[in-house]
Amino acid sequence: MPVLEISNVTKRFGTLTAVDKASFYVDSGQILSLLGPSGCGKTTMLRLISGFEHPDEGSIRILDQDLKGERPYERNVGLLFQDYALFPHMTVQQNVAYGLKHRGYDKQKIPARVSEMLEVVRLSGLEKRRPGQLSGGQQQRVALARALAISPAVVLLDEPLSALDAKLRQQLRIELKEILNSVRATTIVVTHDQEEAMSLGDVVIVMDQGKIIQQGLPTEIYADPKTKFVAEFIGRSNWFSGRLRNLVAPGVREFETAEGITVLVPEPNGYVADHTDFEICIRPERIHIQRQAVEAVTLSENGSRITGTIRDVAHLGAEIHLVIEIHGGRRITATEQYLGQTLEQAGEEVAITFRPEDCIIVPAES
Amino acid sequence: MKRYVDDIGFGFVIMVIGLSLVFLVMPIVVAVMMSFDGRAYLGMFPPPNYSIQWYQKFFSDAYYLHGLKISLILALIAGIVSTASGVSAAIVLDRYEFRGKKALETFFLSPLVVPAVVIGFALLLFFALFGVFSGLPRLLGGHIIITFPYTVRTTLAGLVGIRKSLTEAALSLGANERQAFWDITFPLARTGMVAGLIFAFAFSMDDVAVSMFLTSPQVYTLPVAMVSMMRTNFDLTIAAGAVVLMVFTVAAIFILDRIFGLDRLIGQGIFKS
Amino acid sequence: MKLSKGALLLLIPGIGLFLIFVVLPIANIVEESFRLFVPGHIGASKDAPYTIFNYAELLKPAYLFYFIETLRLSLICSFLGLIVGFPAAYLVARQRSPFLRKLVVGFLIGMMFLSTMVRVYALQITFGPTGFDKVICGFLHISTNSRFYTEILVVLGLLHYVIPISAITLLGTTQNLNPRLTEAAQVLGAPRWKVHVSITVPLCVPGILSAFLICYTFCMSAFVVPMVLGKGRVLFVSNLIYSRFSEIANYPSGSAVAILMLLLSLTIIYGITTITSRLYKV
Repeated sequence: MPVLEISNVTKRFGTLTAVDKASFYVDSGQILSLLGPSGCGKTTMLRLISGFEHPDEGSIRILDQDLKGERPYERNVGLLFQDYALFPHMTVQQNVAYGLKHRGYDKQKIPARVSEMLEVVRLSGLEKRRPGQLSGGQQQRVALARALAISPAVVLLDEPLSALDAKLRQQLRIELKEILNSVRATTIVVTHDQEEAMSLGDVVIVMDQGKIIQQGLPTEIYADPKTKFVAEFIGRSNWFSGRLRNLVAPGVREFETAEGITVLVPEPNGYVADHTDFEICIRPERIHIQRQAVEAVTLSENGSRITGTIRDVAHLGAEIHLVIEIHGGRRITATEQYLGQTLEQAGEEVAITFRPEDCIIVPAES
Repeated sequence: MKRYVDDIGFGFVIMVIGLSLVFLVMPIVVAVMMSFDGRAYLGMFPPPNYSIQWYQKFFSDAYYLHGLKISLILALIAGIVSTASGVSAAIVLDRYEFRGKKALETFFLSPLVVPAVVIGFALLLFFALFGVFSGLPRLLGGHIIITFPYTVRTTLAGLVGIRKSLTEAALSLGANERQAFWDITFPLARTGMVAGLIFAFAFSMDDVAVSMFLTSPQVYTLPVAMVSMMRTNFDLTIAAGAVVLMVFTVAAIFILDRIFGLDRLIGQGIFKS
Repeated sequence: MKLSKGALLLLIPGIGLFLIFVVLPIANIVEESFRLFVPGHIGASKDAPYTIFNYAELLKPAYLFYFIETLRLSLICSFLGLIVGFPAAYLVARQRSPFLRKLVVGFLIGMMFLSTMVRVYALQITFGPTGFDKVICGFLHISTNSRFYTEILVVLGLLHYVIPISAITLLGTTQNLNPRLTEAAQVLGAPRWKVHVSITVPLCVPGILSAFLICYTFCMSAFVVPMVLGKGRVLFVSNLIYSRFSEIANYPSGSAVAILMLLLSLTIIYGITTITSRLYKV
C-alpha cells in the first residue's frame, strides 16, 4: 500500500487552476521528485499535502486515511521550507524538539531523540547554538532534523538545495539522499532544478500548468520524454520538426525535417500512417563528430550523417561544447568529453552522426 | 481536539477586534448623526428628525469662528516653520556623523515625551517672566515646538531610504552640495517632508494641552473654545464643530494617500504572505 | 561626513527654537519649583526663598493619589490597547489583498489623526446621559454616577487613540515576521494558539515593548480626555498641574508637579528602552 496517494486532486484560485486532476502515489521509503517550472503547481501540491490548502476536488490519503479537512497540525507530515524557517529565538535543541513537544512525545525521552536526530544529520554537538550562528548548510540540516524528528509518514522538501552555492549543493545532495535513505523516509522533493530532481528522486514527476505531464524513473524521463515540454525541460536538446516518411527497416523510418534534411528515426509506438507531424530531439552528447567530411548527407543502417562547419568551440573543463552549422543555416549543439584529444577548430568542416535510437520522437504540438 | 481550542481562541480574538471596531466607529457615527439633530435641545440618541441648524449656529457663532480662524493660521504657520526647521535638522542628522549626534536627535524628538501640559505650563511661566510675546506669538511658539518632532521624524525616515550613492554620484559629476541636495535629495525626500507637514498641521489643529495655557480672551484656538463650551454649555453646536474638524482629518488622509500611498507610508515589510 | 559650516547653519533654526521654547522655559520652572509660594499671590514673588516644600508636599497621600491614579489607569489602558492592537496588526500583516490592507491602514491612520476634541465629544455623547450610559451601567450593575463608570469612560477615551496607535506601531513588527515560521510550527504539530504563544509573540517582544511605551507615555500625559470625561472626579497629573495654575495660581507647586511628571516619564522610557536593548543583545 502506498504511503501517500493523490487521486484526481484539483485546486483552483479564482480563475486559475493551480493543480489539475493530478494523481500519483509514493511508496514507503521512496523519494519522489516533483519537477517543473515556477507556476506549474508543485508548490501548491506541497501546500495541499501539508494542509495549508484544501483540494477543491479529489482526495489525498496518507496510509489509507483521507486527510480531508485536517489542519496542518493534525497531519503526520514533515516539511522542510526553502528558507528553512528555523525559529530564530530558540536553540538548535529547542528547534528540533519543537515538534516532539507539541505532539506529546514523552518529555523525558526528548533530549535523547534530539541527539539522535542531530547525529543522523551529522551535526552532533551544536545543540546550544542559535540559527543565526549557523552556516546555510548547517541550518538546512537542523531544519531536516526538525522535520524528521517526529517520524512523519511523509517528508516534504521544498527546493532543498536552491539556497546553497554550487559546490555545497553537490556535496549536500549526496548527503541528503543518504540521510533520507538511512531513516527510510518517504519523501517528496519539490524543485525546478532538473539536476536536483534527477539525482535525488527514485521517481520523477514532471508538472506543467497544474498537470502531471510524465512520471517515471529519471533515466526514462530523460531518454523517453513523452512531450516536447518534458524533453526541453530535462537536459539540453537539438530540435527538428518534420514529417515521417517511409519505413526503411523494422522500426526505423525516414524523417524529413522542415529544412529538407532526411534522417533516420525510430518509429513511435502505435504509429498510424496518416498522422505525420512530429518533432525529434537529439541530445548533444549523442552526436558524434566525424572530422573528415565526405559527401553532404548519407544514410545507412548505422544512422544519419550530416556535414557542417564548426562555428564555436567552448572548452568547459571536462566537457567540450561545440556549435555546428549544417545545411540550411541550422545550428546544432554537440558535447564531447575532454579526454586530452586535440580540439576541433572553428571553421573546420566536419560531419555529425547519430543513430536512429539517439533520436527522441514526440508528437508535434499544435 | 486541538482544533476546537484553536477555533475558540480565534473566534474570541475576532470578537474582541470586532467589538473594538464598533467601539472606535460608533461614537463618531453617533456624533455625526447628532450634529444633524433637528431638535432644538440636546436629547437622547437617536435624533427623531434632522436639520443643519447646528452647522448654521456654528458658522454664525463669532466665538467659534474666531477660534477656527486662529487655529488655521496657527496650524499653517507653525506647520511651515516647523517643517522648514525640522527638514534642515533632519538633513544634518541624516548626512553627517558627529559626536553627540544621537543626543541631538533625542533632544529634537523630546517634545514627544515631555507631557504637553509641562510644555504649555513652562512656556506660560517663561513668557510671563519676560512679558514677552503675548497672544499669537506665544501660541505659535508652543505649536512649533510640539510639531517639530513629527517633521524631523518623517523627513528622517524619508531620507534614510535614499541611497547615499545617488548623492555621491551627483557630486562626482560636478554638482556642489547645494545643487546635489536640490536636484537629487529633495525630490526624493519630498514625500517625507510633505508627510511631516501634514502631521504638523494635524497635531497643531488638535492641540489642547499646550494651547490652554497660552490662550488669552482675544486669542484662542478652536479646540480650546470647544473644551470650554463642553464644560459650560454642552450643546450640539460643538457636534457641528467636531464634524468640521473631522473633515479636516479625512482631507489630510486623502492627501497623504494621494502623495504617498498609504501602503508605502506604513511599508510592506519584507515578507509577502 | 564631519560637520561643515553649512550644516551648522542648518541646525541653527532647530537648536534656536528649542533653546527659546524648551530649554529655557523648563529651566525656569525647575527654578520656580524650588521657590516658596504665598497664597493669594500669582506665582512666587521675585525674592521668595528657596525650599523643597513643593516637592515634599507631593508625598502627601492626596497628591500621591493623582500619580497613582494616572499610573494605574495608564497601565490598564496600555495593556488593553496592546491586547487589541497586536492581533489586529498581525491580521492586517497577513492579509493577502492589498486593497483590504490599504483600507484598514487608512482607517487606522484616520483614527489616529482624529482630533481629540472629536473623540472626547463623541464619547461623551455616546456614553453619557444622551446615549447608552443607562444600558451599559445596567449591564454592569453600577450607577451611572459612580466613580467606576467615570474611570471606564476615561479609559475608553484613551483607548480610542491607543488602539489605533498600537496597531499602527505593531504593523511594522508583524510585517517583518516570517510567515513560514508559523507554518513550520503548525506542521510540527502546534495548533495556532500555541504557535502564537511560543513563536509569534516572543519574536515580537521588542516591538510590543516599543508600542507599550508609546501608549503609556501618551496616557500618562493625557490632559483633555480626563478633563472632559473625568468630570472632575477622575483626574490625571496633567489636570493637577492645570488646576494649580488656573485655580490657585500656585506656580511653584505646579512646577514641582510638572518636573516630577517629567522625571517620571523619562525614567519609564529609559527603563523600558534599557530592558529592551539588554534582552535583545543578540
